[in-house]
Amino acid sequence: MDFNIEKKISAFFSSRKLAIVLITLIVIFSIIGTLVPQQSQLKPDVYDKWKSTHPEQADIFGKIGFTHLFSSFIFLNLAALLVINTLFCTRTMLSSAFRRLNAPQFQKKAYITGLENSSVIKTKKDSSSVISETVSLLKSAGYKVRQEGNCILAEKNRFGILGTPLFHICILFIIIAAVYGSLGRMEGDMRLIEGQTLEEEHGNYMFIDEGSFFNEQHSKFGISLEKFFPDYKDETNTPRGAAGELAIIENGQKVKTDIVYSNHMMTYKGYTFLGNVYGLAPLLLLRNPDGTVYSGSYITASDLDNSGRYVASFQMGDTGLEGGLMVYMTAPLTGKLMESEAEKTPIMFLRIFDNGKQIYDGTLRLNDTIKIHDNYLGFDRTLGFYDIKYWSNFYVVKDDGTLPVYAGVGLMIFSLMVAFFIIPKRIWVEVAGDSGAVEIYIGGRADKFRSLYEEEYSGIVDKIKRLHGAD
Amino acid sequence: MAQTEWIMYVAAAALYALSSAIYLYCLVFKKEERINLAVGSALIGLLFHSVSIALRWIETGHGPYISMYEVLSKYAWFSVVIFLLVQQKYEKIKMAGFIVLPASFLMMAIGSTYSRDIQMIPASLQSYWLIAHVGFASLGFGSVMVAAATAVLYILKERHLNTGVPDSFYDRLPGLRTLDDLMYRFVAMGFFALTIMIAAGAIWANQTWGRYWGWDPIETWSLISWFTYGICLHLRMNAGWTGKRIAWLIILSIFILAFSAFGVGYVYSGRHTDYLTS
Repeated sequence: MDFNIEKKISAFFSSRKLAIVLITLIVIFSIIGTLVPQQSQLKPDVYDKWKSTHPEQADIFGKIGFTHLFSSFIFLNLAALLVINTLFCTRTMLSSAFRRLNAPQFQKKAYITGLENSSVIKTKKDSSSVISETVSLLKSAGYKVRQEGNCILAEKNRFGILGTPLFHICILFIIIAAVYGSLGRMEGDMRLIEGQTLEEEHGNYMFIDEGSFFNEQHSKFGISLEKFFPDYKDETNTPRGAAGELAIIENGQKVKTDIVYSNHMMTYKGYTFLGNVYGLAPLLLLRNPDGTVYSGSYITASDLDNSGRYVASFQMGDTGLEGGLMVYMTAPLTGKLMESEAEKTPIMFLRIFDNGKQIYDGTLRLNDTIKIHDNYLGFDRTLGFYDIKYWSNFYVVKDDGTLPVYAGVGLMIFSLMVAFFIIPKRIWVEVAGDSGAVEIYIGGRADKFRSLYEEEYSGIVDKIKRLHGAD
Repeated sequence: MAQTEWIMYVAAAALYALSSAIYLYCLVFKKEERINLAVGSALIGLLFHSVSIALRWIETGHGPYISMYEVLSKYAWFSVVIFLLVQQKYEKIKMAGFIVLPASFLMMAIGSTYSRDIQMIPASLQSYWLIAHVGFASLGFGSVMVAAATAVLYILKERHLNTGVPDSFYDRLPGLRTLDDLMYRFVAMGFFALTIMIAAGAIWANQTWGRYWGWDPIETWSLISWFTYGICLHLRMNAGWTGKRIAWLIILSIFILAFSAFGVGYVYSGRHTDYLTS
């Protein structure tokens, strides 16, 4: 590549003004992203409703990528440009910082007198004692002092110069870790009934979303819901809402158990498990006249309106029978409360339909049975309510980028502390003239908040004046 | 206890209003010697305010971050605390209270229109990360509020200097360079606090929802605010934006942050807003 073109590209991407332009554009697009409904953030029915009520807007916004703005071509490209820009700027900042750290920059009076904080002190002492006494005074003021001939360079907080480049490195690191994490990410909802164990594999998730590089790398360990607590209280007796005791099973062995509740997730081999919606699962069994089970299973019923009543519709195997149920929890099923309130039992309101015709409408208590006539075969079967358990969905996430992102964020906060609170300060001195007519050119500057450094600088100059008997 | 807490709240708001009125009097009639009265009034108001928050904390069993009444009260408290600490260190910018105190009074007045009913803390909000999140949000808000007030002082001082008429009131304010550096410093402090606020919020979100970032409107707006102050710092450090230009940008930025903190809940729906609009 032509050297000039290479230089121009480097200058373009190293431009800090470009950074400002890109950040401003990202801010503008982010605002648009909060104004236009985002498909990924809304429930499908809510998003579809918006689409049907605003068909023209939805069409235009969809075409230009504004309905999925934060993963759109334009937004991702802006972010990529900002990453490249940050990379170039960081390289420039780092090389400048290391140059300054490694090579002391002594300055002569021409530079010193041009500084905002500069003074000239005249003394009758000889130059060697002026230099040695000034060096000692600056050292006592907490400066690291270096001397070259009649020039002195005093520095304080010199490593503070690394704060800003480190901050930019952290931003790059966080972005790379987040991208790495999202490409290999897996998230899904797994529904477990108390006592049930499911393997961690694709088919056992009710909903699953896998990153491009996840490649079906499921760990296939067993996940078991040992117990569910609708109103869990932790060891400090603090109410924690719903909680589920999960166990991880590998090679037939229980290798980990933990109670998962809000803000308390379980982690295992890079997977995290969080509690999600829950409900009741009554066991309905349809038995043949000889008592053998013809069909039936635990039916997962959900509390759709937060009323404490759990509803479900279901089909009974290949019988052609359909049903709807509503089960009401009158007592917790698990935990200590169950024993003290054992007299309370769940009640189920059940309706059975045969080819759309209602053939049963009644109430069942635990272990109640009803007769259901099979019109085709001409005999009765028994439908029984034999058990009830809780079920819960668990949100399972594998994101290997999370910990590196956290590490990057921690380091970024540290780098900001360095950048904003450890301010490099420098004082340059040149001692000129012979014995009896020595001139001390002194100037100082802080890298940031320069006017706030004036007080410290003036104090040092006053001390130097007193030290050398100058006016 | 609720009655005492409310009386303390009203007393604090009244003292902030008094302090605001004294500041306004000092500014309009250039009576700088009366500023100590305004500061004293703010300080006594802060004592009442602190007692009010402490009583509410004891009563509810959680910090001031569940209802809008508590949230606004907390933001006002942090703003006054940071201002009083700053004016103690940089005595010459005491006058910046003429922005901070009326803003704090306004927050408390708006807060008083919300329900004061005690709300139990939802299980999803029981996290130390939430405390860090809201604590640093308030700290950041207070810092940039003081930065905005300093920016206003800068503009006033510069406008006065352009007239060329000597005035002891404006002469007592710090020099333009110092005001410029001070607003830069407060923005830097605010940016630092906002960074921790976003980080703590991300960790909390991951614990609660299984993802540390989801482009939820309030998350996006907090990032927009962070970027806005990032732009301020970039322009100040790299593009030579000092003085009046950066002062106006800092004043504009506080409105963006205020919208992120208080306005998003009303405009958008999302997971956060369920808590914030209560």
